[in-house]
Amino acid sequence: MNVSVSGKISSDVFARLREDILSLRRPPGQILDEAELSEALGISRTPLRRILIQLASEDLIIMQPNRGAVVAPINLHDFPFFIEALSVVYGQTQALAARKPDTVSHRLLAEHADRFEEAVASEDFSAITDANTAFHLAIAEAARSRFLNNYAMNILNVGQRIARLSFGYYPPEDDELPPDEYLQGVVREHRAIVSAIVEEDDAEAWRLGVAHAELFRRRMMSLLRQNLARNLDGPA
Amino acid sequence: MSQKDQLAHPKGQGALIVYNALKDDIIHARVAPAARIDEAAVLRRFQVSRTPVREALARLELEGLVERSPRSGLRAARLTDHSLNAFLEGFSALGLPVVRIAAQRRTSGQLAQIADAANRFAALAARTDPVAMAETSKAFYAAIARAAQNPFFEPHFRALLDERMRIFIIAAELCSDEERRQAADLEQRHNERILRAIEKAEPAIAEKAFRQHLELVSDRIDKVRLKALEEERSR
Repeated sequence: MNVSVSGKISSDVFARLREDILSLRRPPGQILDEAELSEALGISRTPLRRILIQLASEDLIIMQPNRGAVVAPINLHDFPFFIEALSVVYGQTQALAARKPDTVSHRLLAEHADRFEEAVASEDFSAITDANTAFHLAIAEAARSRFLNNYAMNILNVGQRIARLSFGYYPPEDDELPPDEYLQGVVREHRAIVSAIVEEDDAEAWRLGVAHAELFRRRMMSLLRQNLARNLDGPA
Repeated sequence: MSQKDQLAHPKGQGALIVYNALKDDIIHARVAPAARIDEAAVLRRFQVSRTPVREALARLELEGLVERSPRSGLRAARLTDHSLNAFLEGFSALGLPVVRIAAQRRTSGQLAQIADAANRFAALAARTDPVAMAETSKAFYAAIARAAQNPFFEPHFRALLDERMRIFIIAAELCSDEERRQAADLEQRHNERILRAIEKAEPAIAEKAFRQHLELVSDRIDKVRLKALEEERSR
């Protein structure tokens, strides 16, 4: 991953900026002024540019010629397209992993599924998203394709930020898919995905990938469908 | 940015200019796979300072077009067994949904662009110029990717199309004129099938036609693989 960001300070700054963006401490659309960043992070401009280039390669920021960098925006109208891409990422990496039994460590995948379940039990949101990303990246890794690996990473980065947008959201009165139920669903589906890969059932692995993206979509729709305006009074 | 850089390329676009030029060289195989990239030579060629050159090279490295090897430094990405397989898997994994979705979602304007690219391919009368063929072939799939309209597919699929172009050019250079004509005829038939299915909004047929095309891609890859193997042996 760190092909161009070398050196301890650079990789620390890279990890910190990356985490700030994924956790929305640096929100979508924020302008990243190089002079300010250089000052705030205590790093000179040249290594900072390298770090920004690497963040751009993960689609976390957008570098515009002559206008500086911004944290990649998340647009409402992109959401259906994101779910489509997420289905392809889950489906194709899982199907490929199922077709390559010799490159997949089944025990490693099962361990990742365990760790996700533990994170859910801890109710620590950061730990949950990290464990979830690690699970899916382990599958992408097992698919043994540099392209799919990078693609999965970029799409999962977007997913992490969308998931965080929903965290701390005003809890819906009639949540169709409440967080607990959703997370238990994710735990169950992760187990099923591992089984399909272990059984080398690529068609099932693909189907479960599409279903897994659908579960995420349902969770987001449950948050978005509530009507906070329904209790407002009209003019007296 | 140094003053020299500002003078040569106003507005500080040095890195972008170097990046675009080197990328274009690599994906057209004008810089051959595994060919050494000498930083000093790049500096002389573009008349820019070291910073934008390093920045351009860092970006190319992240995108997998340039590799760093411990012994020989920077070189254009090699085409290895592993990288060729990874490409084919990626092109298939993303290409199948892209073609399928384009058949369901394309506007009439986008269909016209796909048809235009297919016509240009068919009109390349000589059919022996590897670069012209590969570029038109890329334009056809780039138009299909636009018609899928998904911003999370398009830039990534374009990167695959660049690698595909590099493979097609190198494979064509290894072929006789007769072999090139045969491959072009085959590809033209694939284009026509895919175009017709997209026109009629038949995603399953579009996907099937694309699978046939994947066989041609796989065949091109085998050509390049064989060459790489021979070079390995002769070393």
